[in-house]
Amino acid sequence: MSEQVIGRFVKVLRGAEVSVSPAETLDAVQVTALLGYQDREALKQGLSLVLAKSEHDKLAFDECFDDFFRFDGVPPVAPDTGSEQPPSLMERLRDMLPGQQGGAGAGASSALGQQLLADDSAQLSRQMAEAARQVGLDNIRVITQKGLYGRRIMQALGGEALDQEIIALDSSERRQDQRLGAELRSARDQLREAVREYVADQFLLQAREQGRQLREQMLREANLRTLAEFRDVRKQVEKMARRLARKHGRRQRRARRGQLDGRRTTVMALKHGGVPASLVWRRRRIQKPKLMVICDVSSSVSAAARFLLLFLYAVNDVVPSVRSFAFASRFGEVTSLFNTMSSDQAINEVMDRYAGSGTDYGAMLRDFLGQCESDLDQRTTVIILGDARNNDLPAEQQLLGHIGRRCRQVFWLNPEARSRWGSGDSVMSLYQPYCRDALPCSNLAGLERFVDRLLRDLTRG
Amino acid sequence: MKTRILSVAEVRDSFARHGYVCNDRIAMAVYLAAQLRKPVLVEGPPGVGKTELAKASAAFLEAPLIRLQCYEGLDEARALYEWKYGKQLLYTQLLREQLGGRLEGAQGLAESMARLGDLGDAFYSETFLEPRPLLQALRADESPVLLIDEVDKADQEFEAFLLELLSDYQISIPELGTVKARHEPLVFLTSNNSRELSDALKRRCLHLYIPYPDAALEQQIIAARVPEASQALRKQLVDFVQRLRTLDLKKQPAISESIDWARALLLLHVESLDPVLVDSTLNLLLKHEEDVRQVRDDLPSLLK
Repeated sequence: MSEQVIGRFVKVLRGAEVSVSPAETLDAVQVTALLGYQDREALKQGLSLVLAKSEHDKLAFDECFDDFFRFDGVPPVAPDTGSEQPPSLMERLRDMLPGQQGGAGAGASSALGQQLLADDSAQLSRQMAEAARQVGLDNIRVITQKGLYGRRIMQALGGEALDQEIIALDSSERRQDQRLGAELRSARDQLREAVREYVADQFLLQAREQGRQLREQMLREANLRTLAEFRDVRKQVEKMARRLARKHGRRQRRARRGQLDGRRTTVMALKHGGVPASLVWRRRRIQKPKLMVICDVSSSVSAAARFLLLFLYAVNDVVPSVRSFAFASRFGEVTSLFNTMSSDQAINEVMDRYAGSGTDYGAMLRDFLGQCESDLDQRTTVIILGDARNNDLPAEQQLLGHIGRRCRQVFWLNPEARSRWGSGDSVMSLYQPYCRDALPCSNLAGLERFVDRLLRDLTRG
Repeated sequence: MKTRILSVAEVRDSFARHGYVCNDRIAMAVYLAAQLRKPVLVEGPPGVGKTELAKASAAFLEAPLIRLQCYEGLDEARALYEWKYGKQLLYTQLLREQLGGRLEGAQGLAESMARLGDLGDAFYSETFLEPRPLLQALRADESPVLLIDEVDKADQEFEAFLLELLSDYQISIPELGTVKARHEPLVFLTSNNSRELSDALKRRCLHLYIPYPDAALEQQIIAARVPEASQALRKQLVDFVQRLRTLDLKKQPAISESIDWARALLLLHVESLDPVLVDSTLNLLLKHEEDVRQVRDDLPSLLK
């Protein structure tokens, strides 16, 4: 019993983006065995210790716990549940059951009928949960299945026998039987209602996880231009960035330990009469990478710029030094905006100030060189994001070549598909030879791939 | 060491007797840790009593406390064990003749090597082993409380190295084999969240988050730690500190700072807070000049 309940609870937690491992699930079973279900608050605290392992997870956990253990036939012991909380299933059942009326319960012959009349709501709600397990309510996926699962649960509870009994009682001659039949009928209808609500609640819980996975997949693959309109995109980007930062942060540390420094070890050993008592490691000096990002923020590609900047400022731990530039009709450095505001605000501000049309990539390269040529060195990586549509102005690709020689590498990100590069007024094919790599980035998955590669490259030292 | 803990309430009451006032959530963590034999990872802002929790637990369990302070670059040699290189060298020098004697009459290099090989283990034995906190905890004569403080300050490698200790209470030393705990220690790890800890580590621990206490709990804590302060002053003081925490400060005042402040006010024979006094003692609560300036400007409204 306990294992199954916890198993389903863990499923709900995972749906709320709390990651729970099988080992932790086992811990939770142990905790439940130790604490029991009697003291709800204690159980909540105990499970929270083993299942939710960050501040954020704890919040999600509290919510899920309150949701989940409302259904499961656990007596709500805590008296201070607050008035706005919906009544537990048991309370609902208790309200709707007719109650024991002078031994009327003895009249019903079907098992379910007897229970309904005997007002055993605790028993009933336990059975309902059990029936739900039997019919596999966990597998409910689409909203139209609600009726089906509701019927199956009624069946598992013994609804058929009850139906037959009601029919038999209705057709009976005795007034007492008829009254009993009417009573049973109304109790059955109320039970049906309770089952329906139970199924609906479970559906919501289950759908949450399904929906999240689908949504995540969709967000990763949707075109960046349409993406800006979704509300939790930012959260998704931050999540992806966090993952990358964690991955590469670790690598940065590993690279720090060098090889044994034979020469210095021997020198140190002289102190101990030639015995190499202490070893000296050759420390590899990690050169702090510098990043310069130039973003085209004209209307056609501004969405991509928004996400690239979000991404790069979110992996700040790994690449602390990012300078950003924006251009559309004019060019300018926007780094200071990011230092004083949250990246979201800063990006909005950039869009307000620089958005426009009529991009001139040649002029941009010239402006950039004018401002930053002396800052370019062998630790600097330059990233240019734009569609390279130059409005038939001179491309001045030799300037990009000059930048490429002055810095460590140049990457070009183009929000257009590769097949469209060089078509119309796009001068991408002229710029491409001067870049270490040019990549299309039309969705979050593409951006993530690029940032991943960039960080790997930067942290290898 | 106390072997049986009967209930959460027992933990809480005993902690209170030792001057560590806590809520059920914290007591539950200690109770479960002792029951399930699992380490506890304690997170929370600085100064909410994470380290204090380990000390209180040691006092409650009547167990010795072994503490390992983590820092960047902490390695196995500092945390687990180190060979006493100096002693080893000294011994080789002193035993030079003995060694010479052993080698006497050996035919060729191969035989000499073989003879030396026979005694190789002698130099990597208990005699030359310098146990550091982790090994001390494993070999303690009674079950100790092991506090691994600020584990987030240590490197990722060290975190990985801890995994074996945390899940099985044992550690592998290449030269000696696996050392298993004589008595399983109760382990507390604390973290200030300066970086995210790995999932593998979190998975092996109970996770306790200690936030700043609410007003009622903070009053209790101050009553326990600074009993001389009058109740009126205590209430005023806690209300003020709680209000400070709602501001956007660089570093919010923690419990330890409220306690310090309460002690200072007591020394100054203060009966109730007034703006001048608060102004002059503000730097006990706030540790950044900017914060002090910001609060000083709003002082009249904050003290209301």
